[in-house]
Amino acid sequence: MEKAVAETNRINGRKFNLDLNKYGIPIAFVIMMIVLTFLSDRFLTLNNIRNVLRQSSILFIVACGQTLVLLTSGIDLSQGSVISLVSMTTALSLCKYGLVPGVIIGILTGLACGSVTGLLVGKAKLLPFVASLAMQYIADGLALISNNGLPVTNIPGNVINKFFVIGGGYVGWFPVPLIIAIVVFLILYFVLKKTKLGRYIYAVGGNKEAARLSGINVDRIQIIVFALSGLLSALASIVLTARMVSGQPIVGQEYSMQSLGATVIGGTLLTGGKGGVTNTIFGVLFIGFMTNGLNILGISTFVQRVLIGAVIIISVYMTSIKKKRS
Amino acid sequence: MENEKETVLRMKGICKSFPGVKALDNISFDLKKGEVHVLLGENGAGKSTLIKILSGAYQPDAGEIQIEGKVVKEISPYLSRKLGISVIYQELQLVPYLTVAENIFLGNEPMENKLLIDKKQMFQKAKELLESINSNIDPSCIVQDLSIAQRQIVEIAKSLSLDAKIIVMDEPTSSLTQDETNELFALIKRLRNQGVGIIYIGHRMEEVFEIGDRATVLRDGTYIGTKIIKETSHDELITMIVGRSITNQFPYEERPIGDTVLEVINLNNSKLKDINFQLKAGEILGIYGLLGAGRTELARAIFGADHIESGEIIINGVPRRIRNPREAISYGIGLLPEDRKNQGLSLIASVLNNTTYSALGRFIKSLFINDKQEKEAVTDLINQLSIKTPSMFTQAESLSGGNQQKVVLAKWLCSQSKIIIFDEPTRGIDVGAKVEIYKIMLELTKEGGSIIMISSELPELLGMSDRILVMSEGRIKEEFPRSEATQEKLHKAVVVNQ
Repeated sequence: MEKAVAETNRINGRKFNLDLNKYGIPIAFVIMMIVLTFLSDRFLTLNNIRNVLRQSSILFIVACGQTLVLLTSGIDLSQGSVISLVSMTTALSLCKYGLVPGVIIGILTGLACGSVTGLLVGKAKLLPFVASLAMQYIADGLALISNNGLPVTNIPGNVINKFFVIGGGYVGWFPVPLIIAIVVFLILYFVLKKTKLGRYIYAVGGNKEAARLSGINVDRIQIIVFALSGLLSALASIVLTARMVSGQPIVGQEYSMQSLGATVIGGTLLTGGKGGVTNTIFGVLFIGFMTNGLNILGISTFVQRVLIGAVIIISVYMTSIKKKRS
Repeated sequence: MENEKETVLRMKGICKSFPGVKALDNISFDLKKGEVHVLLGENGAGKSTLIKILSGAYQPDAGEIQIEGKVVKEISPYLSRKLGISVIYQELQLVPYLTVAENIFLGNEPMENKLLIDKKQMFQKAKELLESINSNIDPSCIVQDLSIAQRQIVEIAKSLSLDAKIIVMDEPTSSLTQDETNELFALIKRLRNQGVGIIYIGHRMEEVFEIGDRATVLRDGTYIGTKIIKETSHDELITMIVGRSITNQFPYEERPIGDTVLEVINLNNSKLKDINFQLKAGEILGIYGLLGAGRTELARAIFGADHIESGEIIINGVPRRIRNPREAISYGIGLLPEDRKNQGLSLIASVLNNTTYSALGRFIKSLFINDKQEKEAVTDLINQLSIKTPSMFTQAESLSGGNQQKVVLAKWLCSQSKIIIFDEPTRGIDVGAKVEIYKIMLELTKEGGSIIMISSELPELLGMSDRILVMSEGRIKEEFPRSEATQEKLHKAVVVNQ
């Protein structure tokens, strides 16, 4: 049997692997859903699902940014700090200038951070790891400096009422964050599948030198993906800040690693050139529903972290086996 | 009888295939103690594959390896080293930040006890080793600060520290000055007298005759013959290397040659000196030279991949500044790089994607890529170049070398390049696919395209070029029209100008 599988594998070559790549995580996801459904009757209810989707939306928006960066074989470690910084600048601006300027300033803060990281990678030729690590510290520090390390809780009531909708509102059945996440997904899906930018992102991740020798402006693509990662982190941060109705200087801390974890579980390669935002949906939902299911079952968050680590190992190991066999 | 006793290495009937290419076909080779055995052949003839089998990097598909009369099964890099085989590659394998002594004993350190390295003994031993080969290199020097020639000596000392019985040297003189070469040869002779067997891979005939005892020639992965150096001549060896019968594998035809499409005037950068030449419409211009002569650098400079310090590039009568590949492509230039896998293709991307990277603009309609148009264009190119691929969505990685090369070519046809630079277009491609590439080149020029063909393989240059430039040390040294170019002349032009 084993031999036969190996044989088919060899004959079908890439095609067989591609299918596994595409469906491995979705299959695991479905199995997990079924198991959790059997373990608890509180799991598969409309309300619970809506809850998980709402909670996962923020991580998904961040992970989409990470996905773009990973596709070019980069890495963005600064996302979490950018989220913290944007939370602070947004909240402070909301107090000072009102709703629309507050949101715009928040978005621009994230875009600026991402662009600086991008320029460091694309123009100054720093390694993505180093450039984004530096940005992580800088944004982190700025978030703390902005209000002496204290949260911003004094947003005026008339602003907060409207602002809260972004994070806590509903349109019919749908939570607003979920709608934002779906819009982000659709836009990025089409960008990656249908536009020159998308094609070039894969080209740069697949082989930088070949991309350059094909006339692709590699530097610019690198700058763009980091800028987008900053922008998406900012968007996620605004949703999060709205939900908390306050600016929090350390709220983003966990997000860099979570977005990396979700993206990698989804099957986007750390080495770039393979994967996409559809993969990331499954990565995020996998973590979201797993955490939720374990919560319902009363398993401690400490144990959950160990399990997420195990899932990352398994999913990446599977990808590497697939690669080796071919 | 005496031969039997002396033979340290015997390889019999060695075969090795890679997907799409038979790299070695029934190769035999033997080496005696205290002998310098030269391995000759063009690029792609199978020399490095044979060495890689000897060093344990590849497993042979068939054949037998005997070392000192004992059959070696399942050769691995570890076993190969243990058996006393040591390979000194062109790109030296030293750790630049460690000292000479540390490098010599890397992985084989003299120990004080189970944990600590006996540094004193290590330096002492290194010193003795270096002295035994008449070298005064200080064992406490950091390797980074040494010249290439000195690093080679360190490599040799390292081989000796491992008690090497067989030392393989892969083009050791390619980056040495004449004096350094002389010193190296003196050292090789000393090693030979001490009974070490040396396999020497080289291109320069003078060196072969100066240092070699015997020479074995490979061509296209087959064994051509072994000669005793004293009983052979330059011409005989060159004929063996190049072979005779292949001239008719080139589909060359006389064609009308048009106006100048590309003119390079006084081009200079760190690797190129005062380059001047013209390329005409419908012409195949060959460029010949040894490794490091500046051929690839010239291609990259024209294509905007490397910086140009001074000089002019005139395309179709208009002077152009080319600062990056994007600009070169917009002026109708394409480059098939010599390192296809690392520079020509994104291996994990599909045939379709690889084909249209440079020409995506053609298929864009209001922001989005027009899938249908793109697929039609790629289908046409796959048919035109008869690319053998299961589908246009197949990953480039799974194609054979020849078909990969065609995909790179398809990229330039897709972006409608009129001047295409082929850098080593047939390296690692088997004979049948080579001929197909030549035919495509001919077709392109018939349709008015122009080609610069860089190659180390004399027969294909002679077979396909309308004109041949010879490069050496970053300069164009000589130019031969097709009617006057012969192997001997080109070879001489390179050797004389070295």
